[in-house]
Amino acid sequence: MGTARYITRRLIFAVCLIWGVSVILFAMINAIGNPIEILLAERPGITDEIIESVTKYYGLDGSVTDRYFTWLWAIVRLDFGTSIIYNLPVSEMLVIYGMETLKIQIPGIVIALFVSVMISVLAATRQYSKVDFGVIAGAMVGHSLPGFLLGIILILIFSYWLGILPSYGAYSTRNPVMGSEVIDGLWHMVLPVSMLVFFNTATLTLLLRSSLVDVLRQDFITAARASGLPERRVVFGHALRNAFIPVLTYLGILFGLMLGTAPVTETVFTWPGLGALYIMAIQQLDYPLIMGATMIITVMLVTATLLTDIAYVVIDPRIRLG
Amino acid sequence: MTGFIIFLLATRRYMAIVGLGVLAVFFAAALAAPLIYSWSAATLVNLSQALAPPSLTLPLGADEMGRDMIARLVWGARVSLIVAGTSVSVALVAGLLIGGLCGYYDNRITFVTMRAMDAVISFPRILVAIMLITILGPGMASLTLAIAISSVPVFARLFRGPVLSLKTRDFVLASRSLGAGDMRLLFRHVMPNISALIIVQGSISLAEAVLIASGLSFLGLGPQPPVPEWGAMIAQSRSHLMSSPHVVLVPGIALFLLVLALNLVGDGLRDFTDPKAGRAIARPA
Repeated sequence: MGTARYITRRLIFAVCLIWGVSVILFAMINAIGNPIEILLAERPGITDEIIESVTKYYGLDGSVTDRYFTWLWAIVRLDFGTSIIYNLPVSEMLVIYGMETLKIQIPGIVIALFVSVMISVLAATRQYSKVDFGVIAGAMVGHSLPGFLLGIILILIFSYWLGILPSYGAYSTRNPVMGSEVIDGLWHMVLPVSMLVFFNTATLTLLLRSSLVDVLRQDFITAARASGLPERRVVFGHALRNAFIPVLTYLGILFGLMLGTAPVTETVFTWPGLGALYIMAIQQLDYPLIMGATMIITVMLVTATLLTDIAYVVIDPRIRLG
Repeated sequence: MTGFIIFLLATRRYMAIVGLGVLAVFFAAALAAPLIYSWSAATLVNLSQALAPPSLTLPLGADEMGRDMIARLVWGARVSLIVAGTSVSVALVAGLLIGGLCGYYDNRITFVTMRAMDAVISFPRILVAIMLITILGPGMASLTLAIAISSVPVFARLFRGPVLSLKTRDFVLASRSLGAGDMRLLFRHVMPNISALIIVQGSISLAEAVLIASGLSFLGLGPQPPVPEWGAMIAQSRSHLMSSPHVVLVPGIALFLLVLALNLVGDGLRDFTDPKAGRAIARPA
């Protein structure tokens, strides 16, 4: 199968997948019941007529299929409706909160990539040494530590005991740190980013270390060493580049890491991002927000997986297409 | 079990032995919880000793509602182990069935099923679980079910591969030529050969399940108060972190120790069943 045909097939699969998620999501939300009744019925002074008129106002009296296609056509045009709790357009909220999420997630991934390259080179070039075992043990601890616990311990030490870093939010409401809003924003980012770096490093180091150990055993590395190259160039020039092939194709995993760590990280640090927003929407049953956020997350994840698959065949021509 | 311990001793994997010991303590605590402390000791409010620091009568202190931390800790171990154990068992059975059937039969239905599994895997597990709890409503049962469903695709994909290669092996073909039916071949001949994989994956998944369960409970999506779930305990006591850190640190350390012990034992089990394989560590949530 040619590359073009492969990519076309993946593309069609991706679109089918997103459509499938939209059907399942709609069916499941529908199964919970009439949102107007759930949200209003318990409140005082709400009569059946009010519920009926509000239901009609939101178009919830139509048949399931009618409502599904109305909704589908709306989200295709990126119109996710209005948040019930915040009374703001969902699309606008997703952008604003999404930017806040990226503000801590991107440094979290980039710094972790850098740190894990350094650590895994240290470990892999000294396989089975004390350093290597220390790195593996560290990764084991990193994988066993609940995210929220590390966040809370960081807050306890740096905000409460030492009193040098803010424990919540993305900005100070009054008196920004050092009188500058930029520094104030960065100052608030330190703790959440540290927490993300810790967990991403634990994951990435394991992947990179084992990949690097495999590469360092191969013949072309021996050849490079035999030709008299200094070890530093063998490791950073030859081995690392090849060790990165599997890691680069973990693009999807990186993206999954970002989305998976967002809810807990943002809840611990009361960060105004998508993850915390999503949890809040679920707890308060803000239907348009839940559905809009779920669809956006799905589209982003499917796109990341698609790009990963394509990157895979482009970077490594040996991959068998199928 | 004895063989496993001897293996760990002989290969000097002392950390895994420590892990086993810690696990044994947690299991004993979870089993004996109703004998040592009544459910009401773990749930009834007693404000006269609210936020009491650790002392002789209350070795780990009391939480913000004046409940004995040890009582909440042992009942919490019970909750965590029940949620993790049930969800992993359910997921293992479902994953084995789906993975086994999809590996054994190769047709349109199994192709579509595996594609659906691949699609779910591309979502972070904690997000899948969060979406499921949105529909099911928060609580212990829905938490267990959500974790189980979110791990089925992982198991299905993991078990399909070995089944795919085992079904063409000579001993399977031999019993087919003797007239054994598909179900007999699959469950009597193929499945027993992946039992080691099942045990190893099960133990690692337990660690992951405990982590995800506590994370979701921390977010308020797990068992509701006053059920003493460790993650939920941390979330509820957070506002007292500065004045009495023990209300957060006690369940936190217990959680960390339990997950670490499960990971260490899983790691040891992997080396025990397949000494050639690399080290096993659970994927993060």
